[in-house]
Parts: sequence; structure tokens; C-alpha cells
Amino acid sequence: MPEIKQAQSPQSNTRQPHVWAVGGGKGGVGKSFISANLGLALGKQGKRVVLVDLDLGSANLHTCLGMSGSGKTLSDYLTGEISDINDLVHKTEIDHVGMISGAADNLQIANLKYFQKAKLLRNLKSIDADYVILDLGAGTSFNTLDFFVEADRGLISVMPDPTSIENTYRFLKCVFMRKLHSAPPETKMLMNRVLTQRQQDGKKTHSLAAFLSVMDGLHPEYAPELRDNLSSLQLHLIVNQVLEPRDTELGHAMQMTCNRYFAANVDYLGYLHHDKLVLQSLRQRSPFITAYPQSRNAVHMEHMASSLMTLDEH
Amino acid sequence: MNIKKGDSPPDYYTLFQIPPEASKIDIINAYRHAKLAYQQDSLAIYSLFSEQDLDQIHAQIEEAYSVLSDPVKRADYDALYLHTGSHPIHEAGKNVIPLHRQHTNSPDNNEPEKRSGEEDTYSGEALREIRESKNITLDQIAYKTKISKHYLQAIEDEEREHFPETVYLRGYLRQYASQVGLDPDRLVRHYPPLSEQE
Repeated sequence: MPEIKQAQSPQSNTRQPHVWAVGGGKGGVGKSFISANLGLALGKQGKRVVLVDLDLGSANLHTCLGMSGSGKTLSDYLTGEISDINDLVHKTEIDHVGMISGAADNLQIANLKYFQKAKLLRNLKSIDADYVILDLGAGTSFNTLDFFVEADRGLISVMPDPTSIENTYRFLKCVFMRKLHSAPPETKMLMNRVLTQRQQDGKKTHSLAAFLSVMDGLHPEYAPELRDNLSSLQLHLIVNQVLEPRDTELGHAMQMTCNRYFAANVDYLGYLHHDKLVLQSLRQRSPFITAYPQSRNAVHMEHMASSLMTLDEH
Repeated sequence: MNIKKGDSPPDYYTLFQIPPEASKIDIINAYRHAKLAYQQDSLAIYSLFSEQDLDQIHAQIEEAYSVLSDPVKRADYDALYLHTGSHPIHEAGKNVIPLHRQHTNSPDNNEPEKRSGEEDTYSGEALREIRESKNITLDQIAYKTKISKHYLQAIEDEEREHFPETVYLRGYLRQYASQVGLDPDRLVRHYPPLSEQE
């Protein structure tokens, strides 16, 4: 075993993979679908990609890829049965694209222990690939947030309906809060109060942006660090299941409102149409982008993949 | 927790998500996007802003547009803003390739409300400036639209006599608009040779 590792390491040490996490507060907004097809789109452009299913309680990334989910899974790695994370990678339909399954053979796996999470976080960068894409679960548990915060880029899938938007903002608040986990306790407490205040009779609310400008005044020596820390998050919005043309405006609008509320850069990456073909490809157990390569959603996926690639290559 | 007004000038560029060197067109587009983003029934504001916040934001948007759309006021503001410049300038989305620009043009732009504040005309001269600022040559437009460069030149020179039928001029203008990232309808409405005639 050690010999094999050594043979692999020179290659993987030369360049670490870019890690993208796909998240969003709500379930069913297309996180696995987007992860799978973005990964395949990168693979089609000749990149070496490994998709990791971190939706540990209800993994189905393998299904979006048209795979069975049998074989080695993350729990084999977390329990120590497999020592090299690269041994978990399953081949997919497209060359250079691999997948690490999170299929739930161990029913306890959703409740990652701290050391298990730390082990995973530490070793994601040692996956032998150009890109590692993390498909996260819904919700705002620390296990989900930590992977999202630690990734080089965070992609957020949002659907043009109020429930999804409410959960997206909630998710973002948690992300920013988690990002500052090393800040002094008073700062965190104040920030928590700002972000969780209830809206009362349409009265003025406080935003994270306002909080930061107050911090500028109170702690001029410390505030810039706070700002830098928050703005180091690279966030990208994907509006999914667009029905009408005006839904595509939601991305622009949210980019603006996020900037104002969170004082953070949230880019509008692109949108995907509501399309029955998606359901059909799932039923056929074949990945969407290879089943319907000419469809507009496949084209949009490829466009988004190359936009992000251009950003990473700068 | 109070945000003191007057500590630093209100950051119009951040509000509109544009860099300080933004062109006239960028400002008009940003204004339109801002109005859509913060209008009462916008999805994007759901659960994030209260009514009072929105009133304040609406006022700021109008104020920002009234300053940035006026070259004299804008120059004054720039002098002040770039001088104090305490806020970081966000260039969100600048690197991302715009996705199907023509599709994202909202169908709402025909509402009279949206049209207010867009009294500007697009003279041939202005069109040339916009095109050059985007580093697009007439040859490139001619190649993409299959419109002869001769006609494209005539559009920028406002030589109405090259187009015996208005309908051709309108059609060409629309195609020109979509190549340089303008709203085709708006260009047709605000192109001087066409409006003079009516």
C-alpha cells in the first residue's frame, strides 16, 4: 500500500484540486443534479473530476449519474477500513470523471463525528483530480456548513419560489456565521442577534452590512479582518427550474440584495429551465448531460462549468 | 445600533453593482435591475428586508440614478467618492460570462414606470462610443448579423437616406442593439433619426 501511495503523490502534490461545494438550504432544489452534471461537463472538457456525495443521510448523487451506488462508500473510509480516499473513487460514464459514493449503508453515517469530519476535510485536497465537487445535503447543520465554508467555491441552487428563497437566505446567514467561528465570542453574539432578529411590523431591520460598518467604527483595528474573512467566500447562485423569462432576473436581483444585506459578493452564475427531460433521464438511469447533450439545460450547464473554469484559471 | 449617515458618501456604485468606470448604458441597465430587484413583489427581497428598509432603498436607488445619470453631478460625486472611498468596490459578476443576455431582458421593460428616467437618446455618435467601449468592431457585427458594414456605418453616421424603408432601419437597429448589448426596443425608440420622423 505505501508504495502505491508514493507513486501517486508526486502527481497530486504538484497541483491540488479546486474544491467546489454545491449547497443551498432547501431540499429538492437540484443540488445533486447540478453537481453531477457540472462534473460531467468539466469531464467533457478534459478535466479530471471527482464528485463526492456528502449528502450522507440521503445520498443520491449516484442516481443522478446513472449508477447503482453499490461498492465502496465514504463510510468504509470513515470507519478506517480503507485508508486512501482515492481508493473510493468509482468510474462514471465519462472518462476522467469519478465519484465517491455516500450511499447509506451505515445508517449512522449522517451524524458525522467531529474527527471524521476533520479527516474528510483534511483529505479532500489529496484527491487526485483537477476538480473535486461536493454535493452537500439540505439544511444548515455544522457538518454541511463546514464543507461549504472550506470549499474554494460555493455554488447555491435556488428555485424561483418563496420557500426556496427564504431557506437560501437562512443558509447564507448560517454560512457567514460559520465563517466567523474564530471571531471573539462578543462579535459572534452580536452578529447572531443581527441575523436572527424578527421582522416587526415592517420596521427597519439590521443587516450584516450595517453590522460590519458599525464594527468599522467600534473596532477599526479588527473590522478589516472581519470583512476580508467574509469576502473570501466565493459564492455563485444558480437559479434552477425557471419557468418564465422573468424568473431569470431573480439571479441579478439576488446578487444585488445579497450584496446589500451581507456586504458580500454573490455572483449570478446562470439558470436552468424547468424541464421534463430531467425526470426522464433519471428514470432512464442515465446522466442528463449525456442523455440530452443538445438540450438547453445541458448547454447552460456547460456554459456554467466553463465560466467557473475561467475564474479558476486566473 | 445606528448607521450614521454622512460618515461617508452613499455608495451608489456598490448599490448598483457596477464599477466606478461604468458606462452610461451600464448605469441604465443597473438602475433597471435595481428597480426590479427591490420592487414590492420581488422574490429576491423575501424574508430579508422590511417595508421600512425598502422605502429607504427605493429612495436611494432614485437618488443614485439621478446622480450617476447626470454627467456633471456624477463627476462631482466621483471626486468625493474616489477621494474618501472607504468602501471596497465590488465587481460582482464582472468575470462571469453573461448568460444569454438577450434572454435576461425582462418582459417588464414595457411598463411605463420602467421607461421613466430613460429620456436619453442613442445618437449615432453614442452608439459608436458604446460599441468601441466594448471593443467590438463593425466588421464583427457585420460578420455576425450578415448586415453589410456599409449599412452599419450609416447607422452610426445617422445617414437616414441609406434606408429607403424605415422597416429596414428598424430591423438593422435591433440587430445592432443586440450585438452591443443594448435593449433593441429601447434603441429603436430613442434613435434620433427615427424619432424625428414621427
